[in-house]
Amino acid sequence: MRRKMTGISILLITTALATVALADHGHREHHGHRRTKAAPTTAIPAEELARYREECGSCHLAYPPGLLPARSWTRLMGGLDDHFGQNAELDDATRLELTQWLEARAAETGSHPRSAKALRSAGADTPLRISELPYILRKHHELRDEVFTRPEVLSRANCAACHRTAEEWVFDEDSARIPPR
Amino acid sequence: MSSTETRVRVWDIGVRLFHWSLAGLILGAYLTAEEDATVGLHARLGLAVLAWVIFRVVWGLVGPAPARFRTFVRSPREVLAYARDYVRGQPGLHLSHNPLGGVMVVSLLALLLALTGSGLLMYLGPEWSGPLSPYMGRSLAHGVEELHEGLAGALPVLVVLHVAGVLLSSRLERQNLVLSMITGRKRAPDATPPARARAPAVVVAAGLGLATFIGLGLLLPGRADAAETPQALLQSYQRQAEAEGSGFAGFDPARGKALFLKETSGADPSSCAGCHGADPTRAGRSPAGRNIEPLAPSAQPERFTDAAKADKWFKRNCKQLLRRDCTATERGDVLAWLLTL
Repeated sequence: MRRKMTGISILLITTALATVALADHGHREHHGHRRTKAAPTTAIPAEELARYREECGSCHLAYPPGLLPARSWTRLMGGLDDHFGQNAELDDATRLELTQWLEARAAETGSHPRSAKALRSAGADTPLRISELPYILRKHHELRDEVFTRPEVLSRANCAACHRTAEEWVFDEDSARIPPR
Repeated sequence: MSSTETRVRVWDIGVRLFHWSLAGLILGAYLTAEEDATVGLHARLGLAVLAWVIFRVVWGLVGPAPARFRTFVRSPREVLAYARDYVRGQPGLHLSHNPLGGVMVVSLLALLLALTGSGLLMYLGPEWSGPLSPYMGRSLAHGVEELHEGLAGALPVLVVLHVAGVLLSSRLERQNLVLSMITGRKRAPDATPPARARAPAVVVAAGLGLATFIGLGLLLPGRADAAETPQALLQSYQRQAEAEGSGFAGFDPARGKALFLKETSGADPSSCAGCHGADPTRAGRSPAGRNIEPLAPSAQPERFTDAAKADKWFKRNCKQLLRRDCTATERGDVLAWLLTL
């Protein structure tokens, strides 16, 4: 009887330890998985990112430069006095500096995981809105227009309304949450 | 060593302190020139350079004989003759700076005077919302900046030539001239009696340099700190408004509020309040759905602490809504109103 009890106890303890070990293993694997998918923003020096956000991120998300071809950034930065209907003028020095910075990180350089798809989608055009790239439209085709006019969304330019990790330039479907009507 | 026997004290403590302080300050000024975060320090270092340059000019007039311009500034003919001997590798010994060195000293002092002077003008001008802002137009301010940057590019060339000259002369004269600038002693060409400074001259020169440094130093931190508050920005708008028109009679918060709420037909958003919200103590929202921090300094203390940033946004948004830039009076009115909230 006593021997039987001891056997059951050992079995229970072993099972418990194995469960904890497996759970811990799974936990670590999950973390490791996260780490391999580092946010694209981490590839940009913090100072440069802060400067980009300061100049371009006051009115809208500081979009990933890698989602438009270089020619798009060139044209966009050449018309800041009428930036989609808004005056977004910069002094010449800042404008030139930022233009070069954007061109050096444009879709052609593959600076964003989705750069290649964005570039192919642009084709021979010079798109000025990331939200109008056929690739981006296709990704959002399930959403009715009404979603983009909801008070918390306001505009197709407002990626961060649904994409919680938009600031880090991560636009995974599972991290997106659509605000209620 | 026979040379030690003929060594005499040439560089007094003023010249030596001047030389090495200047070297350190210039290095520091170059290291702090580019970043916004260090530009305040850059301005202070530049000011210290200016004070030392003024001291050296005074010292060159009233200081000990080896330090005086009269001693080492030579005629072009003498400079050329010395240059010829130099190229042959047989330059004569000079107790003070040699004739080519004299050219270098004057060039460096002139360049540094222009460099720090243009820097000071930049500091007192529109870039820093300084007291000279109303009197300096955009093109003049830009010209001064170009000059400052151009001279800053020329200085390293002179410094490299200076160091190369010192090293070459040390070789040709078989004495360590760098060490001389530390110990003050050089090999004498003949039995030259050591020069002594007259006490009043020392006091005058040192006093002048110190007074300049303290005077300018007091002026500088005051300005740097002043430009970092909304109240100081308001004062800067007031100076500009007074310079803009003769009819300026103070800012009017009520007028500022009216301008802030004024609707412009055909514009979207149609007023300042369209993005900032009608209550500037609360957050607003951009057309792209971005949160905009409250505009009132009482709600967001960082507001209006950066003159360049305020300038950028006034300009953009005024052009957007009024199809023109705002006047200093209009800016001041709006800021005066925001400061009442």
